[in-house]
Amino acid sequence: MRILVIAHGHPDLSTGGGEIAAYRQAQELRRQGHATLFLARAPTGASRAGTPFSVRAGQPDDVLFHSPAFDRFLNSQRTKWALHEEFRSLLESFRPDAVHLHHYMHLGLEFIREARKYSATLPIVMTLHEYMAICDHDGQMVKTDGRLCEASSPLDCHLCFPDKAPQEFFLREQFHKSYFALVDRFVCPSRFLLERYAAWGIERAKLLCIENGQHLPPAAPAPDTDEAAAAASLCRRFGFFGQISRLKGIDLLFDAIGMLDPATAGTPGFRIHGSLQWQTDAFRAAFADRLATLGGRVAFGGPYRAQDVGALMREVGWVVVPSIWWENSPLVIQEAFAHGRPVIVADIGGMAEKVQERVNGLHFRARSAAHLARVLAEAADPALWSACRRRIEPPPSIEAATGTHLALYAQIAAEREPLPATAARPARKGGRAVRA
Amino acid sequence: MPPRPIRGPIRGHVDSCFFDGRALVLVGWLLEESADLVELAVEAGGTRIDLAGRHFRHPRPDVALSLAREGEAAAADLSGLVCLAALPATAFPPAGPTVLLVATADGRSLRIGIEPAADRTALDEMAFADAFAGLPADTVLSVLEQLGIDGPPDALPPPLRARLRMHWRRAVQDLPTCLEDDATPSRMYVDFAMAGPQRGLLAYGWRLLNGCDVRSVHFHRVDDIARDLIAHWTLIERPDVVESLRAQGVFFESDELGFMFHIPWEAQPADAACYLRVGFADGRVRRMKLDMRPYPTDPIAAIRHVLGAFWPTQRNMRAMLDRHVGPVVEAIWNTRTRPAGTVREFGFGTPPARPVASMVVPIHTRFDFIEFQIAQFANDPDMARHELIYVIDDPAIYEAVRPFCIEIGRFYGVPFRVLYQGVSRGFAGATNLGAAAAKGEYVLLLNSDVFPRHPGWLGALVDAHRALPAAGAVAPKLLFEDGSIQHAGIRFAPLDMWGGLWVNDHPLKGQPDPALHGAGPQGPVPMSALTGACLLAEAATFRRLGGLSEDYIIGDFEDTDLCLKMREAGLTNYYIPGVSLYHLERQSQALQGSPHWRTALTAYNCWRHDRRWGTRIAQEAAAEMAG
Repeated sequence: MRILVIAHGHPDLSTGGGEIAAYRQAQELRRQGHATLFLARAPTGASRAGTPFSVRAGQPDDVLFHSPAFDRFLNSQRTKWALHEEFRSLLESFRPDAVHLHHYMHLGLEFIREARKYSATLPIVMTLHEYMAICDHDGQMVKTDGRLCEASSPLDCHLCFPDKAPQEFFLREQFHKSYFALVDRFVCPSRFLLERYAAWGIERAKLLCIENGQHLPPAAPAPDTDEAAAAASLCRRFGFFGQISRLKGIDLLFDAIGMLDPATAGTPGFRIHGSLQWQTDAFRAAFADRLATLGGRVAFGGPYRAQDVGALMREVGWVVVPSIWWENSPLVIQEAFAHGRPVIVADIGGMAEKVQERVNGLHFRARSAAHLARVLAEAADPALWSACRRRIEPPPSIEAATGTHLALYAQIAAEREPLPATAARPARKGGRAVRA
Repeated sequence: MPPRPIRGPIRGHVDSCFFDGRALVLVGWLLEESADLVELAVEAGGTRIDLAGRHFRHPRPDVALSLAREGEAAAADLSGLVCLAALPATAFPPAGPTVLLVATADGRSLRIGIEPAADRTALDEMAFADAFAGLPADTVLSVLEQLGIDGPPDALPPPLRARLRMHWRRAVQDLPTCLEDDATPSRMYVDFAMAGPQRGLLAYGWRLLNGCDVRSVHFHRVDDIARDLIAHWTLIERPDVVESLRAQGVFFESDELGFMFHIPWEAQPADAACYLRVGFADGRVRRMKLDMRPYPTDPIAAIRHVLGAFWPTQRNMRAMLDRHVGPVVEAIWNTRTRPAGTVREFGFGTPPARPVASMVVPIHTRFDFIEFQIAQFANDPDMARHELIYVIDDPAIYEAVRPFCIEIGRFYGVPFRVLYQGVSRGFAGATNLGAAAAKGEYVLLLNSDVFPRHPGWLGALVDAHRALPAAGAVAPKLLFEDGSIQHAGIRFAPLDMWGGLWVNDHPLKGQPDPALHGAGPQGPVPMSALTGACLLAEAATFRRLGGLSEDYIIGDFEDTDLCLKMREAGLTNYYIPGVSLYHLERQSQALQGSPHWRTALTAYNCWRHDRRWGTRIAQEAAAEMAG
């Protein structure tokens, strides 16, 4: 098959879970012998005159889209020319059999319609990575005053953003839905996210729960030579991985560490690995301050390469995901499981779904530093750690997930195959006439 | 007691005299005080012309100077004498000599022979002008008032009137623009006075006359009869003045400090020279000039100005509308320059040659709504049978709309036409412009902030219309963005606050859709009136009834007006609850500005609608109650 994978960023240029999942999928499709074009938003608007496209040097099948006029409220590309002329010619040149979007943010929802205009029978699949269509607060479904949000409405959204009238949020929702109507299936990496989109109004028949695929280690991790000794040491070592931000719960983790009594809890070791790439100077300064305050109890490893995550995780016993928002299916959880590490998570959203309490990890009351401190103290128990570790199931592999996607494209193509001209074709909801 | 001085002979002189049988003007001097005279008259060939009430006195420095040279003190500081009389037809030329007769109470008298000239150029204009020169404006005007210059046109012969007019104007210019008298104490201010042909003179101000026995307030204007304002004006509350007086610690007896009056007027205000004259019980008179301005040439600016003085919450709001504000605004609107620009049109895609329905959508300010609508229409296969017409009703956006539409047209592939006439015509005018160009069998009036909820909605409305007997207009259920009812038909209700004017009531507005609980009508419901936000009618009927009335300003009430025209033509309007769309309401309107301006304009449009349809609405409402 010929597959066009579209993402809001290239992992070489911006590292986020969504970008990584999209690129892994494209690489896996290529590995399996499918002609795959990876189209990602370039982190700069500058481009050559007369085209929004360029190619990633050395990777000729990685196309960069230099977004000319993006409206971040509507997630709309205001320069339609970039679609109906430029993206259209790319479609006509590449002739995809399926289009798989991992986002529309920074790109424009218009990519969906142009793909549908290009072919009424083309399978269009979109993986949803957060709640961007539902929530203008960076798609987090966290209110601007910090409270967790259960559901959007024009009035609720207006209360978060008083400068915008409720009607503007209504229009935003309608606009997103007019484009979502053209998508065949939505891939939801978590049940939690699937339910949020179903509640928002997407037909259930279009929503599928498919976990992101992971690169699994070639073999199951070799058992530590002295299991008991390893457990005694590892159960006191905690690691934080990924983007370092307020929403990822870094402050909560610092607060909890500060509350631990080193005398009773032994001397647990904390490691933080990740990037401050998108953070403000004030945030970086505060982060450095807190590290200094906690002295030798927390080691900061800085950013890491995706391929190094396994080695880094194996140096700790527990992986902590203390996010203060719902999350979807955090990549860190999947990676931890791939490398045989149980996870301590906040008991909400995608985190609570992916980690089962006292099965393959531990839950703490979301947003409670005190409770997290208690759970961390409790976790420093070799028996508990070993028990959780043993029950970890490996996450779906990238091979398996990609196979599921390919089967989905084929199924949609069969559904969309035009009936013989003699047969009356029922008007499909949201469908359009075939464009000549 | 000192002995009373013995008086000598009466001394006086006639400088010049004009007499043509219809008017007499005599200019001279006299050393007696008018109060001592028992006779002041001219005898002309046996006809006696009494000047007792038709003269006035003024200083004559030249006379005083020559008396001083003679060693005499001037007996009176007002030695100048000017007599002006308009006459019934008097024999001319007189059959005998002409003599000025003067007699005093103590028995002295004087006869001065004069040679009146009938040639008006012979009148000593300099002496005449001098007579007014040193006088306060109030005195000049009181003389001219007495002469009847503000009386009927035939009260003075035209040449004389022309001379006097000049003095009138000069005197009015010298009047203060407000009345502030600490002695009485009284105040009167005029916030604005605007005048123009067809619109009339409209003045708005306030007065504070605590405890003053005001006997009369008159409006004076050259060549016109003085008008008694106490009978003409409408008194109104002035909360702004009340607030200011309170802050200054000024006592006032009533909060109805404001007034407004409206007087027919055809001249340009430059010819004005108008003033107000307040007469007190003690005989004192005060005058203030009206600073007249023309109405702004832009009709909306003019209406905005007029309505600036109108609060629909005023106790006298009906009187204000009926007597002053209503007729003026109506005249401004009716005499506005109609758009004459050619209609520019561009379009995208190929619309059906014979569309079932033509959607006509006026666009003002928020042209981004075009994309929100088209993004929905693009997902509805039924749209291929219909035609979409946007009318750009806002010159401020046209330059931006054109490239925007080119992008939208090419990208979405939904055919549509765009019309523009270079001006803003309001919702009704823009809709009529679009409807005139529509090719559909039906025309759908559509607001730009109405968005479909389901594909096939327009076809369903057309089917409903076709199936109903003698259907005039049909309109769907409209929901707000929160799903509550925005429109489920319109009912007329009298609004007490607005003096019983019939207003448009939207039943169930803002409430949960009864259909959610299995309640409410399922099928079409006959209704007197429907919203124009989304209204379908046969194009031929729409045109036959003259489309939407453009008598309402900017946009309001033209939809119910259309529905009532349908009723008058024997057709029935139906609310179709089975079809529903979203309507954000008032997000699409051209009406911007302060809440006061919007409310005042709504009240005006309501009044206009009531005047046209009040009787019919009462019948419909009665029938609805009975049914």
